[in-house]
Amino acid sequence: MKIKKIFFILVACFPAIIFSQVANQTQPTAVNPEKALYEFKILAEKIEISPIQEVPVHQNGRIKPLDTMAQEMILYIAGGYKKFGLHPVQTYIALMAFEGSPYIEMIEVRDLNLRTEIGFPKSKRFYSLADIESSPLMQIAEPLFKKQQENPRMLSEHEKKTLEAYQQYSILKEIITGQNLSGSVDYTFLNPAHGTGEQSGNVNLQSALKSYFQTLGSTPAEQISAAHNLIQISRTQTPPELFKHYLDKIQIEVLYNKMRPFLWASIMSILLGICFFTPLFKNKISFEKTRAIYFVTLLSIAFGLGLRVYITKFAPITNMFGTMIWVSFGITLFSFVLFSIYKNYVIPGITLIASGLLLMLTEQIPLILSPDLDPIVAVLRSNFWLSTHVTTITISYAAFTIAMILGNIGLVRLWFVKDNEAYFKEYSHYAYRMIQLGCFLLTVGIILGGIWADYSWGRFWGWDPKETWALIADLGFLAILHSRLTGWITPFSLLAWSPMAYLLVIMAWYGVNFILAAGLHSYGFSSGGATMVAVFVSIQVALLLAGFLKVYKKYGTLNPKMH
Amino acid sequence: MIKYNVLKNNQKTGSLDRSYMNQKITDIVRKLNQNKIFKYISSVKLAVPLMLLVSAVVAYGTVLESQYNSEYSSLMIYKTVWFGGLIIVLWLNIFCATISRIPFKKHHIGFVITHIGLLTLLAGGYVTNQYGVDGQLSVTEGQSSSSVVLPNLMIGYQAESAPAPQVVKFKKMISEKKQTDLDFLNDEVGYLFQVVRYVPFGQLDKTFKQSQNGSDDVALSFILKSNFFNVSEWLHTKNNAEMQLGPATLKIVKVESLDEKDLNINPKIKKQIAPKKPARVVNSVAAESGDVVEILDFKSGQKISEISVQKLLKQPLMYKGVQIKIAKQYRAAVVAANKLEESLDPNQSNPALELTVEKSGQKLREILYAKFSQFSLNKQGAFGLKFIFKSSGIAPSEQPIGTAGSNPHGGSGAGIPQTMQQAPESSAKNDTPSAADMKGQAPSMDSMGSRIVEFKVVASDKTKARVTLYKNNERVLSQIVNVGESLQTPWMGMTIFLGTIQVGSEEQIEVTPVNPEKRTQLPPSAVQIKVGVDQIFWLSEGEQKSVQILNKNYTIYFGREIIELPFNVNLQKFTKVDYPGTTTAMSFESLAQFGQGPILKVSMNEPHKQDGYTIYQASYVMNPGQPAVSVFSVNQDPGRFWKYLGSLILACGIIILTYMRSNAYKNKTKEKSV
Repeated sequence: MKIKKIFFILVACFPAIIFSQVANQTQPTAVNPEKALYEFKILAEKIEISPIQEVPVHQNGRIKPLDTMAQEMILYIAGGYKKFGLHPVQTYIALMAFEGSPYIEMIEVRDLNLRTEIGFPKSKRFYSLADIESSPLMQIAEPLFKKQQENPRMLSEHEKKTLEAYQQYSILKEIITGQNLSGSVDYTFLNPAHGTGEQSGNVNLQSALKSYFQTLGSTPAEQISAAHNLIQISRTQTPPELFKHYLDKIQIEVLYNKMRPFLWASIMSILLGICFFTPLFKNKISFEKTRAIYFVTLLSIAFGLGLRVYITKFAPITNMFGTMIWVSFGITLFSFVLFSIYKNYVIPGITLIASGLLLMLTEQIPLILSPDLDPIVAVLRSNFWLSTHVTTITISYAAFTIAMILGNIGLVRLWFVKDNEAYFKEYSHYAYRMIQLGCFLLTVGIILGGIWADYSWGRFWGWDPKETWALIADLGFLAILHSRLTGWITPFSLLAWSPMAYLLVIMAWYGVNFILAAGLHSYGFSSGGATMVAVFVSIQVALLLAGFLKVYKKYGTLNPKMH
Repeated sequence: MIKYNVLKNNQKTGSLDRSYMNQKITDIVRKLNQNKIFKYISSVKLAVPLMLLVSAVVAYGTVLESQYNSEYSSLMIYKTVWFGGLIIVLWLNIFCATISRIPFKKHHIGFVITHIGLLTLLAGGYVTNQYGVDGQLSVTEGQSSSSVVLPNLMIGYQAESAPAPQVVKFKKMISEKKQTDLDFLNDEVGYLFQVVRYVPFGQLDKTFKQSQNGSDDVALSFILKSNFFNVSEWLHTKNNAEMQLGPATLKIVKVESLDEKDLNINPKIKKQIAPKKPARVVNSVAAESGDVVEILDFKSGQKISEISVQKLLKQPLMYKGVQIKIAKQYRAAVVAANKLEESLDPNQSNPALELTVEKSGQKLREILYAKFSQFSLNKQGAFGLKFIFKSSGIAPSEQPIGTAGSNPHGGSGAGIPQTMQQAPESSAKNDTPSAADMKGQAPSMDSMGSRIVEFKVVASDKTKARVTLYKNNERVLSQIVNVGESLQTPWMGMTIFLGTIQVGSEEQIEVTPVNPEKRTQLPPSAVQIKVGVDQIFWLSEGEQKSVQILNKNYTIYFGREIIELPFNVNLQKFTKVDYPGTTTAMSFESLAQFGQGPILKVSMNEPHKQDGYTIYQASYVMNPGQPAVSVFSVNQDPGRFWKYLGSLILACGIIILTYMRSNAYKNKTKEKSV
């Protein structure tokens, strides 16, 4: 009954839904949000995800499956992919089809002060379209648009969050009214050969879209066939030359979204890391077999990276997400090499867990580390330099990360293990090797960057913050390497200073883009995650202080020779 | 090892000499190594603190850059003498450390190569810094230029009869300087004039003072107001007879009499500049049936669609995800109290629409005037669209897009969305002046300026002026305006308010030193110049002034150093290619002719080399209705070879160094020795 009713309303007001404002339909009666949500879920759960998720849509400068677009938008609006436990495609379609959508509490207002500012309690996290429309958010946001246009750097953090909330609201409104889908399904007009296009767009396409929506109340088979029809008609469009290759990759991308390769790689890494600590690996399985299993884990990360390269046609390190995955790959790779040379079972154990956790973290915060595959800015459009300069620099971070981990183990061991001298001696050698490797890669990476900058900007070196901080990190680790010659650094302090110098890497890697946000590498700028990094840095500093304290107590010096 | 060669090769005199030299050097180094100072300079004990010090200093530099901008941080740190000194000490440290290893043994190979690479690299950097050229060249489409603007400052002066100016160049200084600190300038220019003060960041205030030599030059102050800007400016018959505010030219002309035939299209002279009327939002003006809004593709200018205003008032229009809505409608729009308002005067007519254009949560405001179809608040287009409002009974000015001057609201610089779009990812380092700094270098507006506001004044009357407006060299309005009154222009309710008229006055710029504000552009530097005994004036960056020195006319210029390329750059076309369906640039490129050569493409990551200069695509200025300006970064780098060579040696050195410390190598040598 209910479905039928919705279906009727849907058919009746479809044109209005597509081409009118929400306000027109939502004014008459106030709806109970809980009841609306209940009905919404019933409708959404009946939506067949496949094959409608494969509808090609254009957005942010490329063609992608509806699956990806829905995922990205639901994430942006609600702060997570699986709102109400629904698949993002289901949520996206149901928002359009359900009459009470304006009452679904979808919008995550992320700024606590903004919540009170728009007249709600701080504890209320999610807001419906109707909530926002009755709130003064629009009036608050209005003057900020002008400010943003004049000088975006003058916006405060709170003002940025206000604009973000407004944008979340607008996108949700676009989705509900159908503007979002009907606008992005039609990409004929993007083709320059097509001229500037007719106003109403592709009529066949819009009617196929309409008939798809009409099937939502009926059987899955009908839904599926209408979706197939829509995809078929959509594929008769001629996209611009640059976009053509995306059309062949729609299914692969849907698969990539579904598989979440990095999540699995992370689980594999962690499990394998744990295995290295068990007697099973050391005693029962041969070294060669262990290496083989290890190699498979390495491949699993490479597989995900490979998919990203295949879809984007660019090296997979164009954003923070990409570099974090790449560093995880580097950590696994280098510890694999260490394992192969030294046959030490502790290093792979600990580094695999660390790289797995890093992968997991990267996967879990898509709002801060956007995993999108959207195209890159003009200056980066050089695969040669991208895949030499950026990969070299970032993989050097992986080597430093291993040195940092070994150092931290040393710092922690101080408190729990009595006799550390053998550990310090052995592991400081590994850390030393990793620092050497890191310095080599980072130096070469900086030089490659200089050559690229010379080639494309006209100067080899210009003290740009990104390049400057890469140099600072390099100098930090080089100082450790050189201090070894003076006797200033003993096995213990080499291990202790590695995490310290690693803070410089964090600044070069994260800080320049997210905190300083200045200079020519502006394409990497973003925000968020500051608390997380601050917590990490604080723990690190605390560990260092505690470690030095312990050493001083035991040996009466911060730099014990131990022999 | 090497010294024993003497014995082996004593038959050959050439080798003997070399061996002798080696012996000599070895001896010197041995002696040096006994010297405590040399030992310290060549030691790691100096190297490590130096590395940490350099790191700390440049880390602070990046913080400064984040707070201010790159020019500021380079003035404060990277380009200072003490920072250069620090790098030289580092170089000496590496150099001494390297030679202290003489005579080199086999296990020194990695160390020596690495450090020689580093020395070469740093030396190359020094050569670039000292003898390189790194500036900006901006060319307007269809024009050519060869002037490259550099980050350094210069004072140029030229006698009227002299064929070329004389120039004194100097580095921009960060602190204020008095005459006693400016000897290096006055040693050169002192025979003509004195530079008495230098201000690194100055706030300029223009005033007029009574002339002492009894001239009858006239100064006139006016305020130009619209809902988007409010500029107060001076014109002066001698010093500043003409100025450019956006695409409009304003000029003052001294005449014998103001008698002239009035020309009134719009005979409204109001007493107040901002009539205090209740702000009225007129949403209910009955739209005439013939009123339509045309929607055009921004890039191609092609018409996409047309919708009647009546229809649009009822319901917003959706086009490709862009929502177009009428916010307000005006029958006779005027600007009052800095806002667009409906005029209460029934005789006025200036139909206008205020639109809200929205896409994905981004909202733009757009104002359309039936009379002035080229006007737009969104110079980059609104989500790829452009709108024209056609009102029945009003013929839009048929100026084709491409002649500028169509936008009196634009470019005055006050409260207007920036017209300059510097592509951040691409623009060369900002220690070279940005295009916005280069007003003097910017394309001449003469070819485009088609709107002129002319103030005619007589020297005997301080109470009124004749204001004449020209459009495309045709008089469109002429009116006598009294001081304290304002004139409504027919250009979209722009108001010209006549402030004061002063006779016998001299322009004077006062410069007050200010501290640069965070996150904004740096204020310009300025010098105060003294000619003879009593003539003192300020010149701020980019300004010049004519003065009489010893009965000869001189022009004195102060500003960025400019050098001329040996060839002209003739810009044929500039194109920005976006990712389809977005406003994100995928690439931008210039088609240009360099000297007499063929027409070539210069784009991001694809520079052009000629006569020792390399020309890079850096950024651009693009406004609809105006030809695009392409900004190139021009670079000559005599240190390049050394930097590349140093990089190569360094990389090889690290590889050898790492290899020779590895177990694999150690095992091999062990096997050999066994």
